[in-house]
Amino acid sequence: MHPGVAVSRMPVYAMVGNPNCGKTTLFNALTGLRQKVGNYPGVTVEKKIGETFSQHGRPMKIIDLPGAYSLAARSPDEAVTRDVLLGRRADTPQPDRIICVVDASNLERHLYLVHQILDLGRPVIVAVNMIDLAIHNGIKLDLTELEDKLGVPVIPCSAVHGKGLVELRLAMSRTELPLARHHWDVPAPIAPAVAEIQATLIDADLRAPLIARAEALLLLTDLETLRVAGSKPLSTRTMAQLDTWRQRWAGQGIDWSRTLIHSRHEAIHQICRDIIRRPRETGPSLSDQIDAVLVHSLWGWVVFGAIMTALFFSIFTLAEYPMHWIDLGVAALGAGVKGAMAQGDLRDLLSDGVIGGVGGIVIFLPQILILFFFVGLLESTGYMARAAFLMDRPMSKVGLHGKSFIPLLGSYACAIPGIMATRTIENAKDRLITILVAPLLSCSARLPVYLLMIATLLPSEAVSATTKVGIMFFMYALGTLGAFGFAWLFKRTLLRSAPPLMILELPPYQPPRFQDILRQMFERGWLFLKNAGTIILGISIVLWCLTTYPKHPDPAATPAAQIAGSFAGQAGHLLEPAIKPLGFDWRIGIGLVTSFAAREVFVSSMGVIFGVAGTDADSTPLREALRHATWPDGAALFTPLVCIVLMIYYVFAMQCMSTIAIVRRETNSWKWPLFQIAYMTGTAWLVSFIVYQAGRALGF
Amino acid sequence: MGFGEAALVTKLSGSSTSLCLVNGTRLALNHDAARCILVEHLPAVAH
Repeated sequence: MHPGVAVSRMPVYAMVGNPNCGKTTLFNALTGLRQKVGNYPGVTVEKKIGETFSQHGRPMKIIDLPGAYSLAARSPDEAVTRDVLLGRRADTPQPDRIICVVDASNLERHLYLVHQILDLGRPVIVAVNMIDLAIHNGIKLDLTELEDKLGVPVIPCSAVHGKGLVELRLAMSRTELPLARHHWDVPAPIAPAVAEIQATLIDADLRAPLIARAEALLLLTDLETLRVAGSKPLSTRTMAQLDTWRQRWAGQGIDWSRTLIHSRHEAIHQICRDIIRRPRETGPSLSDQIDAVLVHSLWGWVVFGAIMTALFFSIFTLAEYPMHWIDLGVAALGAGVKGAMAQGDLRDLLSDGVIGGVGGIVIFLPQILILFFFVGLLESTGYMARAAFLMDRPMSKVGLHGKSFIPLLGSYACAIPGIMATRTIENAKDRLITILVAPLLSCSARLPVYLLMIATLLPSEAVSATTKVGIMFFMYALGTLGAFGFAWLFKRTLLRSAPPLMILELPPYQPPRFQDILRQMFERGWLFLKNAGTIILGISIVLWCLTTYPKHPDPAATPAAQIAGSFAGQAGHLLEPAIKPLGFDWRIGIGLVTSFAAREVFVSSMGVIFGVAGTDADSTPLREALRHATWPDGAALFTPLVCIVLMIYYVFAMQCMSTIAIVRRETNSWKWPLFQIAYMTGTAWLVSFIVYQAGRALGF
Repeated sequence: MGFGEAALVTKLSGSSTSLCLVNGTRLALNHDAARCILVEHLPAVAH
């Protein structure tokens, strides 16, 4: 669309702004429930598109772009914002108009992005958000003067309280919006380069003239020109020209990037000089007073510990009830299908493969929702940034960012929400390290295996609960040490990078917006079900086939006989030479193969193999069956040493297809999940081998 | 992060990780980030 020309199709608005400017709250206020959430193809950046209506009832599309401090991208999120605005992404329409959301209390800083966007030559509306907070803090803004200087509509608003939305909608409803009037002189030494690159972008990359000028400026400012999957590459001609200019300036000693940035800041300063009036410094604000406690060297940790305990407690205990209901529901559905259909492979595939497999992933949904509710609560109140601030020091010891803490904490419940929560980590390598080590933390799915082994290992009722708790604690500690140890190792070898530089904006404290928190919680839950479910469904069907085929020649064969002869059973036999040095036989091998679906499947597999019906981790018949299991020479199979080794194996082994599916999705590649399987299972084997052989040598 | 204006920086707390106030915005910087900041003595300005 060209400015001043009426649009016949639905106009597309892009909403952009710095992080913490209230952009998403404004987006939610304008679009309500008319939103679609997904991912930009090829990159794990959330894509949110909503629909709203003009004052005349005409539909309008709004794209909520990821927060960015500048169009010179430093993270995948910022790169997506830049590429959508420049029309570089084939999967997203280039917006017709742009709404720039700025924080009224930090206008000058937020105008840097606005200034870059005005260069694009698109109609722009500036929404000055949180205006009530600025007024409350005594900041005076002459927005009429700002509108006059920029030449675009400037609308004061408060998205949280719904103020200014009518005026914003009215501005959006205008069929014609003026183009920016601001004038910015590109520094003289750089002007020829801008003109030349602009001409090449028009000619070789088919850009519109104004977009080409803005992109030329950006290419000269952006040293790294961060690229993300899905963005169209620049022509070789443009790249060659850019290199020539860079080399020429390098030879002349001109810091072109700094010159451009400084020049833009100077232009913004000139705009703001007569517009912003700040009060003289008064006493500490409410946020300062709260921070005096929450980031205090002692009380900060006390409050942090209390909040994390509540989070941990909720994930483990509150989620237990809905998880149990889902479990019952899945079992009832499976039984219903079995009852309704004639006996046969199709029935078993549906009930055991599809319903059982997908049910195995849906059961984690309550934990995921609770974790994201807490994450949303901590983010919306402003506490999340403080938690990262506190945790940065201990996390930096192993080269991780403070922001890695919440994902790792969540992984004690389930690695899946933990891995999904890594999206808040900007640095790609730090994020990848967090994803790679998160499954080492003992999740709730390992509990049934630990419980069964401890019950088998310590048969006497006289053994104190403290001993059992001690073993359990040891397994959790081992997983934690493993996660931190591997993070340290990866940071120094495979994913070597400079120590993470943490510069974190701590937003002012504010009351939580439950509407937004719940919306985000359900969006994340739905994304999890939709994306992970499809991959997991496929793997579930494959695993079902492996345990079902080939069919036992005797139709009346027991489930144990059937599974022993299946591909999974054959795999167990094949595995035996590799796992015998760990003290495991082929039956445990089958358990290892089938529990690749999920660790807790090991318990039910043992039940099937040892012919014990209706098994769970507390099942007395199963414990007894395991205690009496022997090798062909009559030696006990599940000795105390083997029980300990099996637990250690499960601490380190990557035995969870749901996690693999999520890692595949979050890294956009099979390379990292396969690497994760290899390094975790390799470590599991090695540590188990050392412990078993050392135990044997010591006479256990 | 877009700080281009003349900024009044106040260190609020911290030894390893610092908490600063820059033109009304609270910023947390870890030790490595803080080391990247060039600090210079400025001549006294008469108010």
